[in-house]
Amino acid sequence: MQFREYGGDREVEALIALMAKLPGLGPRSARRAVIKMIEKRKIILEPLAQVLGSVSEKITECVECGNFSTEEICCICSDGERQSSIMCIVQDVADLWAMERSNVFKGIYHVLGNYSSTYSGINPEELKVDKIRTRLEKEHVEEVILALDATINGQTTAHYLIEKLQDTGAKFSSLAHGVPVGGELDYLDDGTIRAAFTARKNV
Amino acid sequence: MDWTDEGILLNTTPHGERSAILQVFTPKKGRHAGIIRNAYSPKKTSILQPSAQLSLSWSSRLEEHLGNFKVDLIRTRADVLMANRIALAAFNSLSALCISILAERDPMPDLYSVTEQFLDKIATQENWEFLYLDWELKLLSCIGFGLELDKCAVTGATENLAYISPKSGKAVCQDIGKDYHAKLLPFPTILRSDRNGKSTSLEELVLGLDLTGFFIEKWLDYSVENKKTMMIRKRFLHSLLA
Repeated sequence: MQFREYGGDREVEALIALMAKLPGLGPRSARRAVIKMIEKRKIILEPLAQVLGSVSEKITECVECGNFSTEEICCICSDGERQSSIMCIVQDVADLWAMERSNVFKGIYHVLGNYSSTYSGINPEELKVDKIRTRLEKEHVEEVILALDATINGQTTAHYLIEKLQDTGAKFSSLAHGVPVGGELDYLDDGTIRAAFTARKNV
Repeated sequence: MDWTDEGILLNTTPHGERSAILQVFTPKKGRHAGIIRNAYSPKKTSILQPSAQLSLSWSSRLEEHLGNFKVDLIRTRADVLMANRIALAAFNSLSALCISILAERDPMPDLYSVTEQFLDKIATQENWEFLYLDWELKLLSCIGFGLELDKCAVTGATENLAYISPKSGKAVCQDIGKDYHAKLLPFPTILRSDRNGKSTSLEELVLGLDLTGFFIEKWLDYSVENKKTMMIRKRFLHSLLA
């Protein structure tokens, strides 16, 4: 980005350039956000700077599950009321947070942090298979829920994990595929309809 | 420049925040890459699953440019593959081999036809795994390294074929080959034409795939990417016996 392109000074332009790197923001929307922050200096910019500094100083990956946390062990792993005998494996922290928002799962998580690809293959070190195995044994996990994407890459990873971890004795399950809540059949692709039809249940 | 065709989606690679680079296999243009915009919208992600049969429109200012794709779904195969770990491993192997081996923009209508039929038969035919061996033989043939398994390279005999030359990929009969037993590759039972319709086992299929794998690896340039391709293929062989 050229400095002074928008009439701002170097620090402001640097802030705009950094904001523009965030997902969903381009240079134009980053500029609008920065202007709004400066205009609302007391109620947005200063608290934001304070929180950013604090998060930047403390944030780390939970040593157990890989969730983002300001403690060494995140609030989910340190919660004694959660069922440690059920583990949900997710691709990334965004998926973990999505599962938590749904408030449907009360077990523990493990964040893979990576996926296999149809072309580039699977790097077991990236998938941290040994770490998962250690946790399964340490926590005496009885069921592993593979909450991975319903994509070719997601399911390739799921099959790989089952293959590598089936000797731990844990039961493996995966999320169902089918019609989403609010979904209209007319707008669904034929693969989703077939998957839903195959997984139909008695009512 | 622009063209329209149909094709099989081999792979998608993220490109920036919203776009992706597609690798497709088409009958008229061979393996072809191109960018698709807004690839991660909810509507597009279900379409852009590797293995999907797509209607493709490619356009670019110059032919040598990467170009842009517009796609429409003809039929999806992802649900069938995702429900079957062996099928998924087979597709991963097929797509990795296509990307590693096939020259870009080199039309291979015969191989395309065999590939499309193979992928469709995964959903409809029992013992489809055995067709994968035919696909690899066709792949070797289409890239100019086809195996000659119908007659002995030395005598021309069509019976008692027991070996395959690791240099030429041609069959050698028992009488000629026995003196070079240690240097020649064994002729897999599954590839014999005189089997008279006897049923074959997955172990025999893997022996056949070991042979095609030997020649694929031999002709594949050594690189990190190609090493990964062979690992993906090896995982398919492993899944057949697991």
